[in-house]
Amino acid sequence: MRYFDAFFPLGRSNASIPECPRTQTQALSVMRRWDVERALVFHTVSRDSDPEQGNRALEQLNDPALLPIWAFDPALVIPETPEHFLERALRAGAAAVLINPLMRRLDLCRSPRIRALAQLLEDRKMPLLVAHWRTNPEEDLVEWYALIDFCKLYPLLPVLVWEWRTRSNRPMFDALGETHNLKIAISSLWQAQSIAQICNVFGPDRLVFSLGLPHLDPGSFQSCLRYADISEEAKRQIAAATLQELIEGAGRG
Amino acid sequence: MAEGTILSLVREGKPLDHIPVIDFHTHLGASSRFYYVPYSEPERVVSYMDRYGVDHAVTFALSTTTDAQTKNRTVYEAHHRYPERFTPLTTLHALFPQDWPELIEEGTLAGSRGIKLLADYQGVDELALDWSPAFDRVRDRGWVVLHHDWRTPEHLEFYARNFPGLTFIIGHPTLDFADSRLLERLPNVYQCTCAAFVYPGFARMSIEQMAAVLPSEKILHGSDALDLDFGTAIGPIAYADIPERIKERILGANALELMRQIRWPIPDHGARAAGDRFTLGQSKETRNNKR
Repeated sequence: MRYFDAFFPLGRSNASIPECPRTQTQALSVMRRWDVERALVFHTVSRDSDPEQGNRALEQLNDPALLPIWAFDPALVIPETPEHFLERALRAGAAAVLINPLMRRLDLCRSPRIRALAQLLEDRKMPLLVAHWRTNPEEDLVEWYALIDFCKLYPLLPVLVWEWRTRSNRPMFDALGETHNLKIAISSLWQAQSIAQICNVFGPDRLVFSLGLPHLDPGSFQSCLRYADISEEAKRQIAAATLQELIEGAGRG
Repeated sequence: MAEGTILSLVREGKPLDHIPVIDFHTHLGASSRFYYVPYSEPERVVSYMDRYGVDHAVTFALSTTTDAQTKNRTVYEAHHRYPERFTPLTTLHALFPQDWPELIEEGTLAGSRGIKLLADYQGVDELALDWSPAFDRVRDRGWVVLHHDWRTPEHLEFYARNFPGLTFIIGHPTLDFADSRLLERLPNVYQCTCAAFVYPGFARMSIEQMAAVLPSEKILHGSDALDLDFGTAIGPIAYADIPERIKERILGANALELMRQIRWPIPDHGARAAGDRFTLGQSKETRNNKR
């Protein structure tokens, strides 16, 4: 089985494994070793510190297996409109947009620039990746009930969520039950049989694959999916097909 | 490095039927203080173990920040239903030493083979505790003591030297052994791989680093299931750039050898033996000769 990683990082970060790639060559090498065929690639500087600096650092990417994720800065004082940001991102080949709401204590539903961006992305059905990371590994950072509200405001916007570990799964189940456009990276789901549970109750299209880089051993989640008690078709969907369909279905012209 | 059988099977999601797989660090329970546990019924867990080819699990209660006796009983019940699949350990609550004798005796009657410790989660400073009264009660029973975090090599060494009849397991790779050579010096101390995939955010060593630094015969496979998925432990071992024989040792051969040493009953589950399944009581050589 070949995998399509929804949250593949480039760059160093706190609590990163030594193998975390910094260059395109290293990224492709990591992907080969751990069976990843394609990846949506963000830069750790985008997530951790400076979205624009991270976006520029992705300019090195020119391999078709690596699809850049541009990060968005919601600071209201920035003169560039979300429309112009998105045009620039699309010209650079961005396949998705990333926000880390925690670094800047943002409320997704109330930030004017995020709301404007979300509307633009929804119009194109272009995925919004919401990565929850502060400075060091922490579990249960996602505010699931706020995320429900956000997903309901933009019901056609694919919202992909990642955090280091989603341990309190009851709010997550609520969020999956209350929304249709919320999808979760399986590297956030460490509990036994979480994949099968979510797949059986909410459907395989609510999960996307991620190795969990740069913070987890990249050999961990292939087997969680491979041995899950779900159909082969569901496994293929989680491994790559759902993300593939999202990328192909997005209006990026 | 050429792809070995273990990685090949893991890539295909097929059970590791060609080797013994013994998971020395698992939890049973339907709910922890954090989360609902999917498909936690013992029969569902056994079925899931079969998917991976996990022959046997050393298991203890989930979320023992509450009443240990009540939580332990869930584990004993699973052992009674599937004695060939689960060996229970008795969890003690660090805050209530007065309960330890009763918990240990109940565990003994229920088939327990050891003690599980988790002091920090129970709001007690491990280094301010003295577990000796508990260990003294079981010093000659061939029990193991698996601790979530022994905190310091010196602390663990104190107990390992004072209770040579017990086997001490470091529940997670959270101690720095590069300098202390603890596992080389103390025959009754073992290291579990549990949660090594969270390196460096939690674990101090990855699987490859453990294999490079520690005596390979002292490393035991542990997953933390149902707290974590079996795959988070088996996957990193399968993908690790280490020799196949070391992977085999870690996944089960070391545990099997330890179980023999401390005279645990070696489970020999007939349902698996009926197929082409490795049978735990059988040596690998015998099995290969049969083929």
